[in-house]
Amino acid sequence: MIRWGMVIDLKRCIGCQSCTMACKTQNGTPPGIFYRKVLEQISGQYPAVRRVYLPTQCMHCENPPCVESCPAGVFSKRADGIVLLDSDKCYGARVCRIACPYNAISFLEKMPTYFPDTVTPIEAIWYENHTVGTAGKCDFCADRLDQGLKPACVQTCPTDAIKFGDLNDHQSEVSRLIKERKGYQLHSEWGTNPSVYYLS
Amino acid sequence: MEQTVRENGGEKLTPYRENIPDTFEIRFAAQSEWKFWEVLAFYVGGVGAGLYAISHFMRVPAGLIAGFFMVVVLKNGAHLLSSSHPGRALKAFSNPKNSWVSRGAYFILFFTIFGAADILLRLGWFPGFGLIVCRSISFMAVLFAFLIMIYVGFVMTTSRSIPLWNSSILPAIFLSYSVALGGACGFIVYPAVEIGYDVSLLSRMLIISITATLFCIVIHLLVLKSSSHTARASVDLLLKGSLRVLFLGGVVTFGLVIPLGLLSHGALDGHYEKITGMVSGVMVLIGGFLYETVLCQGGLYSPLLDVEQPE
Repeated sequence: MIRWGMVIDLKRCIGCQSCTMACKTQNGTPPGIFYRKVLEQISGQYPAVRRVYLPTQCMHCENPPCVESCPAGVFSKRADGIVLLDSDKCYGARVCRIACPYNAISFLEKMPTYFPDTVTPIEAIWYENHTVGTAGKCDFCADRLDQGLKPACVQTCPTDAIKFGDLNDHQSEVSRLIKERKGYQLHSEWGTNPSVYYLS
Repeated sequence: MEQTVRENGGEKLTPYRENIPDTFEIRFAAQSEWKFWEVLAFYVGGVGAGLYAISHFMRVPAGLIAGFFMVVVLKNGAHLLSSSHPGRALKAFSNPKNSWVSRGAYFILFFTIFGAADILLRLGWFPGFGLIVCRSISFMAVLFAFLIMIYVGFVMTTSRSIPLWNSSILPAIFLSYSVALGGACGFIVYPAVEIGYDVSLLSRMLIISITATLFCIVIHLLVLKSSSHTARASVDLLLKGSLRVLFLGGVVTFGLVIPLGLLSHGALDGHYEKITGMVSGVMVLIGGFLYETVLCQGGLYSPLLDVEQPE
């Protein structure tokens, strides 16, 4: 059985936010709503300064807290490990936002536009898929995967920092990278077993 | 993100502030999802369920009605006001297998059914029912009242990234605090409806529940203090940070220690006075609301990246 997963090489990530923009374009999210973010942290003091870029998104956990916490059954898990969200069922309790330890679920409080008092034609099309007062998140571009394509962020990354594949296939590139370069998950101590691994 | 955009193709340039996504991932940040309405819902639910259970033991039907009203009308009303699509609220019953919120919805539903039946039977609406049936219904109503008191603790406990909430003692705190709040509310409600009640019994129940609550809160903080970085930051926020006045002054001193002192003074003398109970009750009720507020505002997320200098 396939279990889709992602490996992000932090040594290759240059913080260009191309994946963020690809995700926004793919999902047509309004201003302020990000299904994928690249966090940036600068630490230390000159001359020993360190800058870290950390791309984050829904981790498609094997034990997803959002599925466990949502009273409305908004979240479901596909056989291939992708955690899906059905916003038509969402009544806005925001328990998922509290439960998700990775801050991967966004909540659309209102429908802002990119330009004041103007909805551009492309926004009008995009926003048909979004309902105010409901949650939203990354679905690993499930529609693209079903068509045999890679997720938009993987396709777009200019430095090839994001690898995507089957975690259950020991011969796959993602499995090999995790094994060879000791890939790690964020906060694995929480027992969520995310499908997104990092290399550093 | 500060941007400058052209308004409708005109010449005038105006600043445009794009919503900046919250970034708890790289620093300590308190949860901001649950605010006033959620706090109010948890609070009135605890007070109402506590009052219902206490009134059952005190044999005061007016207290049962007041507690029932608080849970069924006020708690549910606050939950509906807090959700963005109240019309879909029935979907909250969809996931009792996994979600404590969903289980809580069922607890409230069953409490509504058994509580209404219990009250109607006590008021003599259905005299034909036997003693065993009446007692069974009362037992079920009180059982679901206790589950309503405790389930909020479990809802919070499931939040793995908020150490202040992710503690197994939280349900015990909610249980003991709800009993205390119910007793405190009894001191206000019973005289208001001019019903005679056992002041000494209610005072003793309040003393025990306040003591248990204080004990649990201290244990909770001590465990957190020796826990993760974020847990310690939450404790510092409560004891030294911006919430210290509300927590130490409002919750601990005003809401628990002083009422405990007042009631214990009466207990030592053997003279329980209604006015002492009323004053203590008001203080406990205020302290209880502050505790729920502090608990929500002090819930810091564990950052995804290491935090070197806590803010």
